[in-house]
Amino acid sequence: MTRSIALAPIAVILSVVGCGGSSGTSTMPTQPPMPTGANVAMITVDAGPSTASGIASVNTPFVSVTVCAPGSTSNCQTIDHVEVDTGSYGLRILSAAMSSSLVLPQEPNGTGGPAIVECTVFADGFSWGPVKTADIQIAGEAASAVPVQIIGDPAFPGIPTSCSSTGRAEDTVATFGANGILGVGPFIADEGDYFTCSAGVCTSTAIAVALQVSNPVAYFTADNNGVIVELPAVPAAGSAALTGSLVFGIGTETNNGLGTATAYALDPNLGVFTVTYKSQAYGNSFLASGSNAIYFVDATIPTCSNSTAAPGFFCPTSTLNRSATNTGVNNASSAIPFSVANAQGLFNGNTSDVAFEDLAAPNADNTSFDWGLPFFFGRSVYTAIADQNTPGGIGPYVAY
Amino acid sequence: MLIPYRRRALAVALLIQAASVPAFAALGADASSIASDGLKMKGMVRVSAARAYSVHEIQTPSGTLVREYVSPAGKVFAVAWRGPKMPDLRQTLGVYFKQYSEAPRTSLSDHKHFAIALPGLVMQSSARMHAYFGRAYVPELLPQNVPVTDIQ
Repeated sequence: MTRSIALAPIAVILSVVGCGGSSGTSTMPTQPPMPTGANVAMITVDAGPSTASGIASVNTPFVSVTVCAPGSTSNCQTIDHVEVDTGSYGLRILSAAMSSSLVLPQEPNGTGGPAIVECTVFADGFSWGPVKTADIQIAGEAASAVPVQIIGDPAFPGIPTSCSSTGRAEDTVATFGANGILGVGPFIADEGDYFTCSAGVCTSTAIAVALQVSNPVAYFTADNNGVIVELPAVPAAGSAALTGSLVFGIGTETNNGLGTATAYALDPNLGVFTVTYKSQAYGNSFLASGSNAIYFVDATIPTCSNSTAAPGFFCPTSTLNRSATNTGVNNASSAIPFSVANAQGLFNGNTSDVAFEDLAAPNADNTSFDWGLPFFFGRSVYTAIADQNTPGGIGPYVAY
Repeated sequence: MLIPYRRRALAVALLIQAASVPAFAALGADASSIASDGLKMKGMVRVSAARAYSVHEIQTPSGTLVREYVSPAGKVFAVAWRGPKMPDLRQTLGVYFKQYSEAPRTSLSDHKHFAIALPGLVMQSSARMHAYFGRAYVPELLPQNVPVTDIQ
Protein backbone atom coordinates (compact mmCIF):
# COMPACT_ATOMS: atom_id res chain seq x y z
CA MET A 1 0.00 0.00 0.00
CA THR A 2 1.05 3.58 -0.43
CA ARG A 3 0.42 6.69 1.58
CA SER A 4 -2.60 8.45 0.20
CA ILE A 5 -2.37 12.14 -0.53
CA ALA A 6 -6.12 12.58 -0.12
CA LEU A 7 -5.75 14.43 3.17
CA ALA A 8 -2.95 16.63 1.94
CA PRO A 9 -4.93 19.75 1.04
CA ILE A 10 -6.36 19.87 4.56
CA ALA A 11 -2.89 19.60 6.04
CA VAL A 12 -1.62 22.32 3.73
CA ILE A 13 -4.34 24.76 4.66
CA LEU A 14 -4.05 24.13 8.36
CA SER A 15 -0.28 24.39 8.39
CA VAL A 16 -0.57 28.14 8.03
CA VAL A 17 -2.52 28.51 11.25
CA GLY A 18 -0.78 25.76 13.20
CA CYS A 19 -1.54 22.16 13.81
CA GLY A 20 -5.25 22.33 14.50
CA GLY A 21 -7.23 19.66 12.81
CA SER A 22 -4.63 16.94 12.85
CA SER A 23 -5.96 13.95 14.67
CA GLY A 24 -4.29 11.02 16.34
CA THR A 25 -1.37 10.74 18.67
CA SER A 26 1.18 13.15 17.25
CA THR A 27 1.73 16.40 19.05
CA MET A 28 2.37 19.94 17.97
CA PRO A 29 6.04 20.62 17.18
CA THR A 30 7.81 23.24 19.24
CA GLN A 31 7.64 26.20 16.92
CA PRO A 32 10.55 28.61 17.46
CA PRO A 33 9.93 32.29 16.78
CA MET A 34 10.09 32.82 13.04
CA PRO A 35 12.79 35.29 12.07
CA THR A 36 11.51 38.25 10.14
CA GLY A 37 13.07 40.28 7.39
CA ALA A 38 13.31 40.63 3.64
CA ASN A 39 15.83 37.78 3.61
CA VAL A 40 13.45 35.22 5.14
CA ALA A 41 11.25 32.86 3.11
CA MET A 42 8.77 30.58 4.81
CA ILE A 43 9.45 26.85 4.50
CA THR A 44 6.52 24.45 4.66
CA VAL A 45 7.03 20.75 5.27
CA ASP A 46 3.83 19.20 4.00
CA ALA A 47 2.45 16.45 1.76
CA GLY A 48 3.46 18.24 -1.43
CA PRO A 49 1.58 19.85 -4.30
CA SER A 50 -2.04 18.79 -4.48
CA THR A 51 -1.59 18.02 -8.16
CA ALA A 52 1.00 15.33 -7.33
CA SER A 53 -1.69 12.72 -6.92
CA GLY A 54 -0.83 9.38 -5.45
CA ILE A 55 2.11 9.71 -3.12
CA ALA A 56 2.42 12.11 -0.23
CA SER A 57 5.81 13.70 0.34
CA VAL A 58 7.49 13.04 3.69
CA ASN A 59 10.24 15.18 5.20
CA THR A 60 10.26 17.49 2.19
CA PRO A 61 10.72 21.26 2.72
CA PHE A 62 9.01 23.55 0.24
CA VAL A 63 9.17 27.30 -0.51
CA SER A 64 7.44 29.59 -2.98
CA VAL A 65 9.55 31.15 -5.71
CA THR A 66 8.56 34.02 -7.98
CA VAL A 67 9.83 33.68 -11.53
CA CYS A 68 9.73 36.64 -13.94
CA ALA A 69 10.71 37.17 -17.54
CA PRO A 70 14.08 38.96 -17.47
CA GLY A 71 13.65 42.68 -16.89
CA SER A 72 9.92 42.42 -16.22
CA THR A 73 8.17 43.07 -12.91
CA SER A 74 4.74 42.16 -14.26
CA ASN A 75 5.26 39.04 -16.37
CA CYS A 76 5.79 36.92 -13.29
CA GLN A 77 4.42 33.83 -11.58
CA THR A 78 4.76 32.68 -8.01
CA ILE A 79 5.27 28.94 -7.92
CA ASP A 80 4.52 27.13 -4.68
CA HIS A 81 5.86 23.78 -3.50
CA VAL A 82 9.39 24.18 -4.81
CA GLU A 83 11.56 21.76 -2.85
CA VAL A 84 14.49 23.29 -0.94
CA ASP A 85 17.66 21.23 -1.38
CA THR A 86 20.97 22.14 0.26
CA GLY A 87 22.48 19.19 -1.61
CA SER A 88 22.12 20.41 -5.20
CA TYR A 89 22.49 23.53 -7.32
CA GLY A 90 20.07 25.68 -9.24
CA LEU A 91 16.37 26.24 -9.80
CA ARG A 92 14.36 23.71 -11.82
CA ILE A 93 10.67 24.24 -12.49
CA LEU A 94 8.19 21.77 -13.96
CA SER A 95 6.81 23.14 -17.21
CA ALA A 96 3.41 21.81 -16.11
CA ALA A 97 3.49 24.14 -13.08
CA MET A 98 4.09 27.23 -15.22
CA SER A 99 1.48 29.48 -16.73
CA SER A 100 1.56 29.56 -20.53
CA SER A 101 1.62 33.37 -20.30
CA LEU A 102 5.03 33.33 -18.62
CA VAL A 103 7.42 33.09 -21.54
CA LEU A 104 11.09 32.85 -20.64
CA PRO A 105 13.88 33.28 -23.19
CA GLN A 106 15.74 30.15 -24.25
CA GLU A 107 19.43 30.24 -23.35
CA PRO A 108 21.58 29.78 -26.48
CA ASN A 109 25.07 28.30 -26.42
CA GLY A 110 26.72 31.56 -27.42
CA THR A 111 25.05 34.40 -29.31
CA GLY A 112 22.84 32.92 -32.02
CA GLY A 113 23.92 29.42 -31.00
CA PRO A 114 21.77 26.32 -30.54
CA ALA A 115 19.46 25.87 -27.53
CA ILE A 116 20.99 24.54 -24.31
CA VAL A 117 19.02 21.61 -22.84
CA GLU A 118 19.89 19.64 -19.72
CA CYS A 119 19.46 16.05 -18.64
CA THR A 120 19.37 16.08 -14.84
CA VAL A 121 20.08 12.56 -13.65
CA PHE A 122 18.69 11.68 -10.23
CA ALA A 123 18.89 8.40 -8.33
CA ASP A 124 15.23 7.71 -9.11
CA GLY A 125 14.96 9.02 -12.66
CA PHE A 126 15.90 11.83 -15.02
CA SER A 127 14.47 15.27 -15.84
CA TRP A 128 14.92 16.57 -19.38
CA GLY A 129 14.31 20.18 -20.32
CA PRO A 130 15.71 23.42 -21.71
CA VAL A 131 17.77 26.01 -19.88
CA LYS A 132 16.02 29.37 -19.86
CA THR A 133 16.86 32.73 -18.34
CA ALA A 134 14.71 34.14 -15.55
CA ASP A 135 14.62 36.83 -12.91
CA ILE A 136 13.96 35.20 -9.56
CA GLN A 137 12.47 36.61 -6.39
CA ILE A 138 12.35 34.71 -3.10
CA ALA A 139 11.03 36.64 -0.11
CA GLY A 140 12.63 40.09 -0.56
CA GLU A 141 15.69 38.86 -2.43
CA ALA A 142 16.07 39.30 -6.18
CA ALA A 143 18.36 37.75 -8.77
CA SER A 144 18.59 38.76 -12.43
CA ALA A 145 19.08 36.62 -15.51
CA VAL A 146 19.63 33.30 -13.77
CA PRO A 147 19.90 30.13 -15.91
CA VAL A 148 17.09 27.79 -14.79
CA GLN A 149 15.91 24.43 -16.12
CA ILE A 150 12.33 24.02 -17.33
CA ILE A 151 11.53 20.32 -16.92
CA GLY A 152 9.20 18.63 -19.39
CA ASP A 153 8.96 21.55 -21.79
CA PRO A 154 6.87 20.31 -24.75
CA ALA A 155 9.10 22.30 -27.11
CA PHE A 156 11.80 19.65 -26.63
CA PRO A 157 10.05 16.30 -26.94
CA GLY A 158 12.96 14.34 -28.35
CA ILE A 159 14.95 12.93 -25.44
CA PRO A 160 18.39 11.60 -26.44
CA THR A 161 18.86 7.91 -25.67
CA SER A 162 21.89 8.67 -23.49
CA CYS A 163 19.53 10.63 -21.23
CA SER A 164 16.44 8.40 -21.30
CA SER A 165 18.50 5.27 -20.64
CA THR A 166 19.59 6.62 -17.23
CA GLY A 167 16.21 5.83 -15.69
CA ARG A 168 12.56 6.74 -15.67
CA ALA A 169 11.23 10.13 -16.70
CA GLU A 170 10.38 12.65 -13.98
CA ASP A 171 8.79 15.30 -16.15
CA THR A 172 5.39 15.80 -14.50
CA VAL A 173 4.48 17.16 -11.06
CA ALA A 174 3.25 13.69 -10.10
CA THR A 175 6.46 11.90 -11.09
CA PHE A 176 8.69 14.69 -9.76
CA GLY A 177 6.81 15.10 -6.46
CA ALA A 178 7.10 18.90 -6.47
CA ASN A 179 6.53 21.90 -8.72
CA GLY A 180 10.27 22.39 -8.84
CA ILE A 181 13.49 22.16 -6.86
CA LEU A 182 15.67 24.98 -5.53
CA GLY A 183 19.28 23.84 -5.15
CA VAL A 184 21.00 26.08 -2.60
CA GLY A 185 24.03 23.91 -1.81
CA PRO A 186 27.62 25.02 -1.18
CA PHE A 187 28.54 25.56 -4.85
CA ILE A 188 27.12 27.70 -7.66
CA ALA A 189 27.05 25.88 -11.04
CA ASP A 190 25.46 22.43 -11.24
CA GLU A 191 28.10 20.84 -13.55
CA GLY A 192 25.33 18.77 -15.09
CA ASP A 193 24.88 16.85 -18.33
CA TYR A 194 24.16 19.34 -21.11
CA PHE A 195 23.08 19.08 -24.71
CA THR A 196 22.67 21.56 -27.53
CA CYS A 197 19.63 21.10 -29.73
CA SER A 198 18.78 22.47 -33.12
CA ALA A 199 16.14 21.28 -35.57
CA GLY A 200 15.17 18.54 -33.14
CA VAL A 201 18.63 17.01 -32.96
CA CYS A 202 20.37 17.12 -29.59
CA THR A 203 24.08 16.55 -29.06
CA SER A 204 25.95 16.10 -25.79
CA THR A 205 27.96 19.31 -25.29
CA ALA A 206 30.20 20.85 -22.63
CA ILE A 207 28.70 24.16 -21.50
CA ALA A 208 30.54 27.16 -20.02
CA VAL A 209 30.09 27.40 -16.25
CA ALA A 210 28.41 30.81 -16.53
CA LEU A 211 25.67 29.30 -18.72
CA GLN A 212 24.95 26.35 -16.43
CA VAL A 213 21.91 26.08 -14.17
CA SER A 214 23.10 27.80 -10.99
CA ASN A 215 22.34 28.41 -7.34
CA PRO A 216 20.25 31.63 -7.43
CA VAL A 217 21.51 32.70 -4.00
CA ALA A 218 24.88 33.55 -5.53
CA TYR A 219 23.03 35.81 -8.00
CA PHE A 220 21.26 37.85 -5.28
CA THR A 221 22.48 41.43 -5.01
CA ALA A 222 22.82 40.98 -1.21
CA ASP A 223 22.75 38.13 1.32
CA ASN A 224 24.42 35.97 -1.31
CA ASN A 225 27.06 33.99 0.63
CA GLY A 226 24.85 31.13 1.82
CA VAL A 227 21.61 30.11 3.49
CA ILE A 228 20.25 28.98 6.84
CA VAL A 229 17.51 26.36 7.11
CA GLU A 230 15.63 26.67 10.40
CA LEU A 231 13.05 24.04 11.29
CA PRO A 232 11.32 23.21 14.59
CA ALA A 233 11.98 20.02 16.49
CA VAL A 234 9.37 17.30 15.91
CA PRO A 235 8.21 14.64 18.35
CA ALA A 236 9.32 11.03 17.98
CA ALA A 237 5.91 9.94 16.73
CA GLY A 238 6.01 12.45 13.90
CA SER A 239 4.28 15.70 13.09
CA ALA A 240 1.66 17.04 10.77
CA ALA A 241 2.65 19.85 8.40
CA LEU A 242 4.94 22.44 9.95
CA THR A 243 6.67 25.64 9.00
CA GLY A 244 10.21 26.99 9.26
CA SER A 245 12.48 29.48 7.56
CA LEU A 246 14.91 29.69 4.69
CA VAL A 247 17.15 32.63 5.63
CA PHE A 248 19.46 34.13 3.00
CA GLY A 249 22.96 35.30 3.85
CA ILE A 250 25.31 34.41 6.70
CA GLY A 251 26.32 37.30 8.97
CA THR A 252 25.01 39.85 6.49
CA GLU A 253 21.98 41.04 8.52
CA THR A 254 20.94 41.21 12.15
CA ASN A 255 18.93 37.99 11.76
CA ASN A 256 21.51 35.67 10.19
CA GLY A 257 24.59 35.69 12.40
CA LEU A 258 26.39 32.45 13.19
CA GLY A 259 25.73 32.85 16.91
CA THR A 260 27.05 29.81 18.75
CA ALA A 261 27.11 27.59 15.66
CA THR A 262 30.33 25.76 14.76
CA ALA A 263 31.55 25.66 11.15
CA TYR A 264 32.45 22.26 9.66
CA ALA A 265 34.54 22.90 6.57
CA LEU A 266 33.68 20.85 3.48
CA ASP A 267 35.98 19.40 0.86
CA PRO A 268 36.43 22.35 -1.55
CA ASN A 269 35.87 20.15 -4.63
CA LEU A 270 33.23 17.68 -3.49
CA GLY A 271 31.37 19.54 -0.75
CA VAL A 272 31.57 16.59 1.63
CA PHE A 273 32.82 15.91 5.16
CA THR A 274 33.36 12.77 7.22
CA VAL A 275 30.79 10.99 9.35
CA THR A 276 31.97 8.17 11.59
CA TYR A 277 29.37 5.54 12.45
CA LYS A 278 30.12 2.26 14.24
CA SER A 279 33.87 2.97 13.88
CA GLN A 280 33.55 3.24 10.10
CA ALA A 281 34.49 6.59 8.50
CA TYR A 282 32.27 7.67 5.59
CA GLY A 283 34.33 10.31 3.80
CA ASN A 284 31.69 11.47 1.29
CA SER A 285 29.04 12.54 3.80
CA PHE A 286 26.80 15.59 3.72
CA LEU A 287 23.78 17.46 5.08
CA ALA A 288 21.07 17.68 2.42
CA SER A 289 17.63 19.10 3.13
CA GLY A 290 16.54 17.33 -0.06
CA SER A 291 17.18 13.88 1.41
CA ASN A 292 14.01 12.86 3.19
CA ALA A 293 15.53 10.46 5.72
CA ILE A 294 18.84 9.55 7.33
CA TYR A 295 20.45 7.33 4.71
CA PHE A 296 23.33 5.19 5.96
CA VAL A 297 24.83 1.72 5.77
CA ASP A 298 23.86 -0.75 8.49
CA ALA A 299 23.10 -4.27 7.30
CA THR A 300 21.94 -5.23 10.81
CA ILE A 301 18.76 -3.12 10.56
CA PRO A 302 15.87 -4.73 8.66
CA THR A 303 14.05 -2.77 5.96
CA CYS A 304 10.29 -2.47 5.54
CA SER A 305 8.93 -4.80 2.87
CA ASN A 306 6.99 -3.76 -0.21
CA SER A 307 3.71 -4.77 1.44
CA THR A 308 4.12 -2.14 4.17
CA ALA A 309 3.28 1.55 4.15
CA ALA A 310 6.99 2.44 4.08
CA PRO A 311 8.76 0.18 1.57
CA GLY A 312 12.53 0.57 1.55
CA PHE A 313 12.88 2.49 4.83
CA PHE A 314 14.37 0.92 7.96
CA CYS A 315 11.93 -1.14 10.02
CA PRO A 316 13.66 -2.16 13.29
CA THR A 317 11.42 -4.04 15.74
CA SER A 318 11.87 -1.19 18.22
CA THR A 319 13.36 2.27 17.99
CA LEU A 320 17.17 2.25 17.92
CA ASN A 321 19.17 5.02 19.58
CA ARG A 322 22.43 5.57 17.77
CA SER A 323 25.20 8.13 17.43
CA ALA A 324 27.45 9.32 14.62
CA THR A 325 30.25 11.86 14.63
CA ASN A 326 30.57 14.65 12.07
CA THR A 327 34.10 15.86 11.32
CA GLY A 328 34.83 18.76 8.99
CA VAL A 329 37.98 19.03 6.90
CA ASN A 330 38.97 21.72 9.47
CA ASN A 331 38.78 18.93 12.10
CA ALA A 332 35.78 20.52 13.85
CA SER A 333 33.90 17.56 15.26
CA SER A 334 30.70 16.75 17.11
CA ALA A 335 28.78 13.62 18.07
CA ILE A 336 25.18 13.56 16.89
CA PRO A 337 22.70 11.28 18.64
CA PHE A 338 19.87 10.07 16.43
CA SER A 339 17.07 7.53 16.43
CA VAL A 340 15.87 5.00 13.90
CA ALA A 341 12.19 4.23 14.34
CA ASN A 342 10.15 1.56 12.60
CA ALA A 343 9.05 3.47 9.50
CA GLN A 344 5.94 1.36 9.02
CA GLY A 345 4.90 2.23 12.56
CA LEU A 346 5.59 5.92 11.92
CA PHE A 347 3.57 5.99 8.71
CA ASN A 348 0.68 3.98 10.15
CA GLY A 349 0.63 5.96 13.41
CA ASN A 350 -0.99 9.03 11.95
CA THR A 351 -1.57 9.00 8.24
CA SER A 352 -1.55 12.80 8.01
CA ASP A 353 1.94 13.09 9.52
CA VAL A 354 4.59 14.29 7.08
CA ALA A 355 7.60 15.12 9.29
CA PHE A 356 9.66 12.48 11.11
CA GLU A 357 12.96 13.06 12.93
CA ASP A 358 13.66 9.32 13.25
CA LEU A 359 13.03 8.17 9.66
CA ALA A 360 16.02 6.35 8.16
CA ALA A 361 16.85 4.05 5.26
CA PRO A 362 19.74 2.06 3.77
CA ASN A 363 22.21 4.01 1.64
CA ALA A 364 23.27 2.39 -1.63
CA ASP A 365 26.29 4.73 -1.47
CA ASN A 366 28.57 2.94 0.97
CA THR A 367 31.03 5.84 1.05
CA SER A 368 28.60 8.37 2.54
CA PHE A 369 26.36 9.04 5.51
CA ASP A 370 23.53 11.25 4.28
CA TRP A 371 21.88 13.03 7.21
CA GLY A 372 18.85 14.28 5.35
CA LEU A 373 16.06 16.45 6.72
CA PRO A 374 15.81 14.69 10.12
CA PHE A 375 19.10 16.39 11.03
CA PHE A 376 17.57 19.80 10.33
CA PHE A 377 14.64 19.44 12.76
CA GLY A 378 15.30 21.49 15.89
CA ARG A 379 18.41 23.11 14.42
CA SER A 380 19.56 26.11 12.43
CA VAL A 381 21.76 24.64 9.70
CA TYR A 382 24.04 27.01 7.77
CA THR A 383 25.35 26.23 4.28
CA ALA A 384 28.13 28.59 3.11
CA ILE A 385 28.87 28.82 -0.61
CA ALA A 386 32.40 28.05 -1.88
CA ASP A 387 34.81 30.99 -2.04
CA GLN A 388 32.35 33.35 -0.30
CA ASN A 389 33.42 35.30 2.78
CA THR A 390 31.37 34.86 5.94
CA PRO A 391 31.98 35.53 9.65
CA GLY A 392 32.65 31.77 9.95
CA GLY A 393 35.38 31.82 7.32
CA ILE A 394 35.38 31.19 3.59
CA GLY A 395 33.00 28.58 2.19
CA PRO A 396 32.29 25.83 1.55
CA TYR A 397 31.17 24.81 5.00
CA VAL A 398 28.13 23.77 6.96
CA ALA A 399 27.52 25.09 10.45
CA TYR A 400 25.09 24.23 13.22
CA MET B 1 36.02 11.60 -9.61
CA LEU B 2 37.31 8.20 -8.70
CA ILE B 3 35.52 6.51 -5.89
CA PRO B 4 37.54 4.09 -3.84
CA TYR B 5 35.94 0.89 -2.73
CA ARG B 6 36.96 -1.79 -0.36
CA ARG B 7 37.57 -4.95 -2.26
CA ARG B 8 35.69 -7.84 -0.79
CA ALA B 9 38.40 -10.38 -0.15
CA LEU B 10 35.87 -13.06 0.69
CA ALA B 11 34.03 -12.87 -2.57
CA VAL B 12 36.68 -11.79 -5.01
CA ALA B 13 39.55 -14.20 -4.78
CA LEU B 14 41.07 -14.21 -8.21
CA LEU B 15 41.34 -11.85 -11.14
CA ILE B 16 41.77 -13.10 -14.66
CA GLN B 17 41.90 -11.25 -17.94
CA ALA B 18 38.68 -10.56 -19.76
CA ALA B 19 39.97 -11.94 -23.01
CA SER B 20 39.60 -15.47 -21.76
CA VAL B 21 35.94 -15.02 -20.86
CA PRO B 22 33.84 -13.39 -23.58
CA ALA B 23 30.66 -13.38 -21.53
CA PHE B 24 28.81 -10.22 -20.64
CA ALA B 25 25.11 -9.67 -20.41
CA ALA B 26 22.33 -7.74 -18.72
CA LEU B 27 20.50 -8.66 -15.53
CA GLY B 28 18.68 -11.96 -15.92
CA ALA B 29 20.38 -12.85 -19.19
CA ASP B 30 22.73 -15.73 -19.92
CA ALA B 31 26.32 -14.77 -19.33
CA SER B 32 27.33 -16.77 -22.35
CA SER B 33 24.97 -15.02 -24.73
CA ILE B 34 26.61 -11.75 -25.68
CA ALA B 35 29.27 -9.25 -24.76
CA SER B 36 26.83 -6.50 -25.60
CA ASP B 37 26.98 -4.54 -22.36
CA GLY B 38 30.70 -4.01 -22.60
CA LEU B 39 30.42 -3.03 -26.25
CA LYS B 40 27.43 -0.76 -25.69
CA MET B 41 29.11 1.01 -22.80
CA LYS B 42 32.48 1.08 -24.60
CA GLY B 43 33.91 -0.31 -21.41
CA MET B 44 36.80 -2.53 -20.49
CA VAL B 45 35.61 -5.87 -19.16
CA ARG B 46 37.42 -7.97 -16.62
CA VAL B 47 36.25 -11.02 -14.72
CA SER B 48 36.76 -12.11 -11.12
CA ALA B 49 36.17 -15.66 -10.02
CA ALA B 50 34.55 -15.96 -6.61
CA ARG B 51 33.34 -18.67 -4.33
CA ALA B 52 29.76 -19.00 -5.51
CA TYR B 53 29.70 -16.71 -8.52
CA SER B 54 31.88 -14.65 -10.81
CA VAL B 55 31.96 -10.88 -11.16
CA HIS B 56 32.27 -9.24 -14.56
CA GLU B 57 33.36 -5.60 -14.40
CA ILE B 58 32.95 -2.89 -17.00
CA GLN B 59 34.97 0.27 -16.46
CA THR B 60 33.16 2.84 -18.60
CA PRO B 61 34.93 5.85 -20.17
CA SER B 62 33.01 8.16 -17.80
CA GLY B 63 34.72 6.48 -14.86
CA THR B 64 31.69 4.52 -13.67
CA LEU B 65 32.30 0.90 -12.70
CA VAL B 66 29.51 -1.59 -13.53
CA ARG B 67 29.66 -5.05 -12.01
CA GLU B 68 27.61 -8.01 -13.17
CA TYR B 69 27.32 -11.04 -10.91
CA VAL B 70 27.06 -14.39 -12.71
CA SER B 71 25.78 -17.52 -10.99
CA PRO B 72 27.22 -21.03 -11.52
CA ALA B 73 24.16 -21.59 -13.72
CA GLY B 74 25.47 -18.86 -16.03
CA LYS B 75 22.82 -16.24 -15.28
CA VAL B 76 23.46 -12.61 -14.37
CA PHE B 77 21.66 -12.54 -11.02
CA ALA B 78 22.78 -9.08 -9.89
CA VAL B 79 24.32 -5.83 -11.09
CA ALA B 80 25.91 -2.95 -9.20
CA TRP B 81 27.37 0.39 -10.21
CA ARG B 82 29.39 3.24 -8.73
CA GLY B 83 30.95 6.32 -10.26
CA PRO B 84 30.49 9.86 -11.55
CA LYS B 85 27.73 9.02 -14.08
CA MET B 86 24.64 6.84 -14.00
CA PRO B 87 25.28 3.83 -16.24
CA ASP B 88 23.00 2.90 -19.13
CA LEU B 89 20.27 1.28 -17.05
CA ARG B 90 18.37 0.00 -20.09
CA GLN B 91 21.41 -2.05 -20.97
CA THR B 92 22.36 -2.96 -17.40
CA LEU B 93 18.89 -3.99 -16.24
CA GLY B 94 17.96 -5.59 -19.56
CA VAL B 95 14.42 -7.01 -19.49
CA TYR B 96 14.05 -5.75 -15.90
CA PHE B 97 14.25 -2.10 -17.00
CA LYS B 98 10.51 -2.20 -17.72
CA GLN B 99 9.70 -3.46 -14.21
CA TYR B 100 11.91 -0.76 -12.70
CA SER B 101 10.51 2.04 -14.78
CA GLU B 102 6.89 1.03 -14.21
CA ALA B 103 7.20 0.46 -10.44
CA PRO B 104 5.02 2.96 -8.59
CA ARG B 105 6.76 5.91 -6.98
CA THR B 106 7.04 5.56 -3.19
CA SER B 107 7.55 8.01 -0.34
CA LEU B 108 11.24 7.10 -0.35
CA SER B 109 11.72 8.49 -3.86
CA ASP B 110 13.35 11.88 -3.14
CA HIS B 111 15.57 12.30 -6.23
CA LYS B 112 18.67 11.34 -4.25
CA HIS B 113 17.39 7.84 -3.44
CA PHE B 114 15.29 5.07 -4.91
CA ALA B 115 14.33 1.63 -3.65
CA ILE B 116 12.01 -1.13 -4.79
CA ALA B 117 11.64 -4.67 -3.48
CA LEU B 118 9.31 -6.41 -5.91
CA PRO B 119 9.01 -10.21 -5.83
CA GLY B 120 11.02 -10.34 -9.06
CA LEU B 121 13.38 -7.38 -8.66
CA VAL B 122 15.13 -5.67 -5.77
CA MET B 123 16.88 -2.37 -6.49
CA GLN B 124 18.45 0.46 -4.51
CA SER B 125 20.02 3.62 -5.86
CA SER B 126 21.64 6.71 -4.34
CA ALA B 127 22.96 9.80 -6.09
CA ARG B 128 24.65 13.06 -5.27
CA MET B 129 26.68 15.44 -7.41
CA HIS B 130 29.01 13.32 -9.59
CA ALA B 131 28.44 10.18 -7.52
CA TYR B 132 25.97 7.46 -8.47
CA PHE B 133 25.68 4.21 -6.56
CA GLY B 134 23.20 1.41 -7.06
CA ARG B 135 22.51 -2.29 -7.13
CA ALA B 136 19.79 -4.58 -8.41
CA TYR B 137 19.24 -8.30 -8.14
CA VAL B 138 16.69 -10.93 -9.05
CA PRO B 139 15.83 -12.90 -5.87
CA GLU B 140 14.91 -16.09 -7.70
CA LEU B 141 18.26 -16.14 -9.52
CA LEU B 142 20.35 -15.50 -6.39
CA PRO B 143 22.59 -18.52 -5.74
CA GLN B 144 22.25 -20.16 -2.35
CA ASN B 145 24.48 -18.83 0.43
CA VAL B 146 25.26 -15.58 -1.34
CA PRO B 147 24.51 -12.67 1.00
CA VAL B 148 22.93 -9.72 -0.79
CA THR B 149 25.50 -7.49 0.96
CA ASP B 150 28.05 -8.97 -1.49
CA ILE B 151 26.34 -7.01 -4.25
CA GLN B 152 27.89 -3.57 -4.27
